Amino acid sequence: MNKDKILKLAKGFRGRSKNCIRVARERVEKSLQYAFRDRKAKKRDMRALWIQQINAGARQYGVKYSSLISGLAAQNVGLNRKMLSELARTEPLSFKALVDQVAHMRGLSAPHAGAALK
Amino acid sequence: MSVHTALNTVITPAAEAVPSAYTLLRERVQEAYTVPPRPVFAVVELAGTQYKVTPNDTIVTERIPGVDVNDRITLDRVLLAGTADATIIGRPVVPSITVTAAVEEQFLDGKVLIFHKRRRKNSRRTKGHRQPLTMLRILDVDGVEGMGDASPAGTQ
Repeated sequence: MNKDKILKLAKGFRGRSKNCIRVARERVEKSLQYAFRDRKAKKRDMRALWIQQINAGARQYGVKYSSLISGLAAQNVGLNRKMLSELARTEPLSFKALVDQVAHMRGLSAPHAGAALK
Repeated sequence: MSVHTALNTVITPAAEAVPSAYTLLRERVQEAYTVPPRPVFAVVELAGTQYKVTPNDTIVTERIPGVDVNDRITLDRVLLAGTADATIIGRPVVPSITVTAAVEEQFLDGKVLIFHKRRRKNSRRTKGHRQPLTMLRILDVDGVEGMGDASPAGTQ
């Protein structure tokens, strides 16, 4: 890569790393290596975040993450963790329906009237 | 004899036809459209990824082969659908619900630089990558309002 491209990638860097090509080249190379590594790590981090969110949402109703996931798998529901966390955040009633379904099938609680089990 | 034939024959399992996750409708969008919003959402699966969609949504997916801009497609794998009153949970799919979408754009993603360096060995390698993507506009979720009270066959 020529100098202009390097300096363009070095925007926002600290000190001489954004101005002087000899310093910037090293920093940019390191930043590209980090970017490669972190594109892979981002997938792991997001999944951990989804699991935390699903856990928190399920525990509101007294169900643990492990029970919810194994219960959904036993009922052949194909939603993945990204969707489950998104439902827990934006569609709380639907998430509650899923949790209730799992709780009901495990006999943990009787389905109350009006539960959305259609 | 039978032992030798068993050793020599290669048993290939019959290739199961994986049902396509989308169907190309034989109609195209003719003019500028506006999509009235409806209080209904669905979780669709396409190309191994799941999306939560409502009418007038825009989703970006992996490039869908065989479609052009302004084609309508139906997304057949619906895992969950919900309205203000009900949630329909598929196991794993709800067969009677489909989502209609129009192809808005087929484009390449921004360039991602892949850079590898072996330090102190005078070795580095640079590569660029642009992923082909498709942008879909969700037009409607079909088959939801008619669910009523009866539990549909095959879903719970």
